[in-house]
Amino acid sequence: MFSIFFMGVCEELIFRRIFDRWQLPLQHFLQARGLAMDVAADQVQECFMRLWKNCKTVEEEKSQSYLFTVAARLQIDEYRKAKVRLKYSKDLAKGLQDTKDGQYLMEEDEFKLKLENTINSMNAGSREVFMLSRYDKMKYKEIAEALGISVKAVEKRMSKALKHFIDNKIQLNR
Amino acid sequence: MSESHEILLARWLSGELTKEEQAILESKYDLASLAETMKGQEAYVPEVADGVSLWEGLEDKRRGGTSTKKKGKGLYFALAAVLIGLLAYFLLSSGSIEKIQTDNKNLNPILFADGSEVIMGPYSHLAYDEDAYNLNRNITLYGQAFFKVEKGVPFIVNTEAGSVEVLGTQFDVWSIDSKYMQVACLEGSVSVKDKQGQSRNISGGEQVYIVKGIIQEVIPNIDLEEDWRQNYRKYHSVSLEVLLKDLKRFYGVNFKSSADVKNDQFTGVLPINNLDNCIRFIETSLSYESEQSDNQIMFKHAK
Repeated sequence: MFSIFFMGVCEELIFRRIFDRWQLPLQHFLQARGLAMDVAADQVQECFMRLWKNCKTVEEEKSQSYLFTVAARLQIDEYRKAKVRLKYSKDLAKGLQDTKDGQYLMEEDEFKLKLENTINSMNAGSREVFMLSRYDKMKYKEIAEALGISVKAVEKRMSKALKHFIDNKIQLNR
Repeated sequence: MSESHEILLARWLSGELTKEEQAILESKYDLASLAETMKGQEAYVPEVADGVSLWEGLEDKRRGGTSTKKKGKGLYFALAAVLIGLLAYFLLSSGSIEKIQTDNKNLNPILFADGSEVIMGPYSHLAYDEDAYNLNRNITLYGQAFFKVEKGVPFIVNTEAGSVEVLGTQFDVWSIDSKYMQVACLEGSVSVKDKQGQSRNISGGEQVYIVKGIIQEVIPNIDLEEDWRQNYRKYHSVSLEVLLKDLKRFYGVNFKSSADVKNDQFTGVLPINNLDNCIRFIETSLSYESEQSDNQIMFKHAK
């Protein structure tokens, strides 16, 4: 009965638990939105910094949607900055490809290359959902809550992602 | 029909399809091969930053230091920065911020060096700089506390919603919200200031509220029986949202309210040691009904 600690997110242990639960999905989410690995990691830190600063006003149950909302905003800021700095291409997915260096590319097998191309070439909305679902094993309902959209919208985006796989005829070489 | 097709693939993957839906989908797509692809896809996880180093970087940022994320080249710089930082930290603050947290049980009075006394309410936080205490008695409070202040330099209690300044007196402060605060003065006089900079002086037996961020008129003749230390809490035009937040402090239960009643105002006295009575009081005074489920009590309009 008295197990709930009143301070919620401000409580160190709870904050740590939220971090452990969401840092990876947030990294995937930001990568899905086109940020390179190190930039995404920095922005995930920034998300948690903001959560920490606002820990008194954000309830624990709402911390995940808070984090994803902040992440989405940070990505847009980052994208705008990048656009000015590098005259970035319109392709949001470019960041994802940028993370790979040449040598690494050579070591990858064909399936992986095709897989990445397929993931990179789907629309950003589908990619977000696909990555959270596949890499973080989040249920559609959880994704919907985190992103603040309906479960049906999640299912639509996910189906689109899968359809994209079918259309690209990507197959595992055995 | 094609509308519903749009979500079938997702449901297929999560295994939520009916037999008919499965048949429709199989007639259109090569599901076996897609399943194979998905199996293969699982093996390739995108590269991400390591959670442990991410946490450490976050810790640095939270302490206001510089990130040590970029190792290698910047290592010596980072080391130097850390050393300078540590030195400055010891010189300037001596790490003397004293923090006190209470749970629902241990509510013993705390004695300050100058003889001032504070009795903290349940689930409250209080922080002050131990070294600077003799120069400026500056205290940060979240929750509720009763202060008995000895004469001396100004004693200031800062909260989210406003601050209280006193010289030597007895008073009670409650603030769990940036918009709402309650100060009761039992002896002597105190000055209460809201975030807009408006202030009121209240003296013994008087009380003042900050409602929606604005300081209200002084209320004379407070009834000392209706005090949290006597197991009662008096509320004055507080929104239901803040009220329920405060009650959680005493009962450790999650209170919820439906969206349409969240901003309803409550004025009255509630017991803080009897949950059933407390719920009944709220129900009758605001004509609500409540629903109890595991560790949560939901208030909404009575039908």
